[in-house]
Amino acid sequence: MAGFHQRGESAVKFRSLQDWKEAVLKEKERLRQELAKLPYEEKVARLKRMQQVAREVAKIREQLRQQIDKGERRGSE
Amino acid sequence: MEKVLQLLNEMESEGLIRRYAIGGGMAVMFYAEPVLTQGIDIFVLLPPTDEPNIVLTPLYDFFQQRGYQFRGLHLEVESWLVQFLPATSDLEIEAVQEAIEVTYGSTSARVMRAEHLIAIKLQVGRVRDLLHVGMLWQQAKN
Repeated sequence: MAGFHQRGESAVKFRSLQDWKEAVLKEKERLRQELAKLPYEEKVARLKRMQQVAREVAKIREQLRQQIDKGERRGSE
Repeated sequence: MEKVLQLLNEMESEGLIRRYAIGGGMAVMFYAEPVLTQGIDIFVLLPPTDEPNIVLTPLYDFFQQRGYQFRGLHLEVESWLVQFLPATSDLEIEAVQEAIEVTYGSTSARVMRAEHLIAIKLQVGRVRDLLHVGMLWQQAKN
C-alpha cells in the first residue's frame, strides 16, 4: 500500500514538473517572439550589450584560468 | 553600425563592389531574435576583372585609407569587426542579387533573404549555423 502511495506521489510530482517545464518553454517562446519583433536597431543595440558581457566573461575566465595555473604550479613545488 | 553601412554604400557607388548584402549572424538577427555574433559578414559581388584570382585589396585599402585597422582577419570599423566574403557560388551570387533593401537609422542597406541564409548556413553546417537555421525556421513557423 505504501509502495502504491509513493508511486502516486511520484506521478503527481512528475506531472507538476512537466507542467512547470511546459510553462517555462512557453514563456521562453513568448520572450523569443517578443525579441524577434524588435526593430533591427534595437536588436543591434542588444547585440552590443551581449558582446560586452561576453568580453567580461572571457576576461574573468582568463583570470580564473591564470589563478588555477598559479595554484597548480605552487602545488607542484 | 550605421557608419559601416554608409561606407559600404560609398564603396558601391564608387564601383569598388557591384553589390553587397549582409549575411551571417547579423542577417539572421534581422529576422529572428538577437544572436551573439562577433563580426559583420558582408557578401560582395566584385566588378569584372581580367585577374584570375579574387583580389580584395582595393576593398581593404578603402577602409585603411580612412584610418580603419585590421584586427586578425577582420577590419575594425567603429568597434564592429567587418569581413568581406566574395560571393562565388551560384547560391551566394543569387543571395546578394536578391537581397532585400532595409533602412537602418537613416541609411539604406541590404540584407540577405531568410531562405538564402538558411541554404548558405546549411552548406556551411557548423553547430552555430545549424542553430541559426533553427531560429529562422522557428520564426518562419510563427
